[in-house]
Amino acid sequence: MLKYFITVLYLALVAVSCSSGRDPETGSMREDADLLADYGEVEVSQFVVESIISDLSSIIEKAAFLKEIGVPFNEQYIASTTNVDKISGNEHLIAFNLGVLASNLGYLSMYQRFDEVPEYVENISRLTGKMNMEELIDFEILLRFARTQGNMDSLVYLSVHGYNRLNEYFIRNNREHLSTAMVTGLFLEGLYLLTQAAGSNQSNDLAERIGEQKILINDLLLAMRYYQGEFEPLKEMADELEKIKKEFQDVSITYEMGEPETVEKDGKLMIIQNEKSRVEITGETLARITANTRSLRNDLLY
Amino acid sequence: MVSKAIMKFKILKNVFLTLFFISIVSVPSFSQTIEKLVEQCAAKLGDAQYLRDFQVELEAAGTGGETQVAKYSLVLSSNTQYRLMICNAEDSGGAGLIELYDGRGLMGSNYSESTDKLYQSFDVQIRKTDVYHIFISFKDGEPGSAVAILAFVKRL
Repeated sequence: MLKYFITVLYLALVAVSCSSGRDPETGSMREDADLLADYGEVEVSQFVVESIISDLSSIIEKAAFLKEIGVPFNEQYIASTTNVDKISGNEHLIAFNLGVLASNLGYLSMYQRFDEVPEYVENISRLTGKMNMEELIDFEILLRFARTQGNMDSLVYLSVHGYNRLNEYFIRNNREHLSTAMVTGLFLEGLYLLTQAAGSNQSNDLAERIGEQKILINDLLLAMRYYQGEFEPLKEMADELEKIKKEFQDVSITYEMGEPETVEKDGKLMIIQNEKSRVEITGETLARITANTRSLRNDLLY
Repeated sequence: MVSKAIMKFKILKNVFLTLFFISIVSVPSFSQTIEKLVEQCAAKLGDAQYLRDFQVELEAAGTGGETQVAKYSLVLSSNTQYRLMICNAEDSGGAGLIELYDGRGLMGSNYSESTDKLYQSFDVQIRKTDVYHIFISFKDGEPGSAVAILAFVKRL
């Protein structure tokens, strides 16, 4: 009973902060009108912020999605590394750019661009060096792997694992504010990747995936606002990100309720979610999100 | 007298440093062991792509019987199949249990009640982008250490 109560309390606490605003009643359909509601003075705990930071930290999911739907590799979608050495001093900006490059590394790894990977690995190494954290990632193994054009799965594993360790380091050493800046870079570069791909590839799946970012942008802003009083760079980034959030107001997400089921087949266990979301986004909204994302991303990029 | 004390201090320092060095070389730390376990577990993913790991070390259930649980949240994307896998450390007391929750409650776990079987992994087909939660504990409230891995299987 106590375990049940704690579980329900935990889910309720996280849902309050990370909510997508789901109707608790099953079998109904609802529109997510309040998704972008302003949280105002809502108090958020450190635990919730850490959860949000970790939630949004996947360097390959967007790239994997693009590859799965057949979008070809395009080097125009990733950042140039020529100006990395110019970044200095502002550790939030360094962390932001680490997130951008990590997203690029994930994209390159997913598309097996072994020739380009070393350049990004070396630049990530330089940025981590500026924050005295270069020992956290085994850059030599990553470089050796890329240069010998080894197995793609292993390259992706090393890239993702390296990024995860950086994120954990920030969190364990009470530097979550830097993790937040890094995740902001990762999120924005991921959104840039999706919107750029949508510009040259007509795909409903792609447009829907962009629309779904509406669910995540509010959580990210929640984490950024948590630190904005203490760290001006995060406040500035959050103020700019608000402009993109506004463009998501016209994205409509509806939910069709259903209960999950578990099936066993061929000795394997599978959970099937029967609750579904449907995203509607117009071409005009997509164009505005694309333009604002490009503008902010290029402003913050080294 | 002073030089004797300095000599004694130097000898003790050398002994201490030698023992310290031996301890580092011969006994892998928890983080080294768990890192190895992450690698080994990721290697078992098969056709799935590693996304994230969760390293867990839990004590036995308290005297009141309440099971220790490690809780994490994660964003899962719609129309995507993921795999959740758990690998127990060699010296783990109990077998790892992963439960997946959405905002409304338990969606499923690696334990099948119908067969009373604990699976090492399970796949989940997600139809709705949202924040989900995984709870990791050890069966029957035993202490244990394990690594759970979230992996991308395919787009649905």
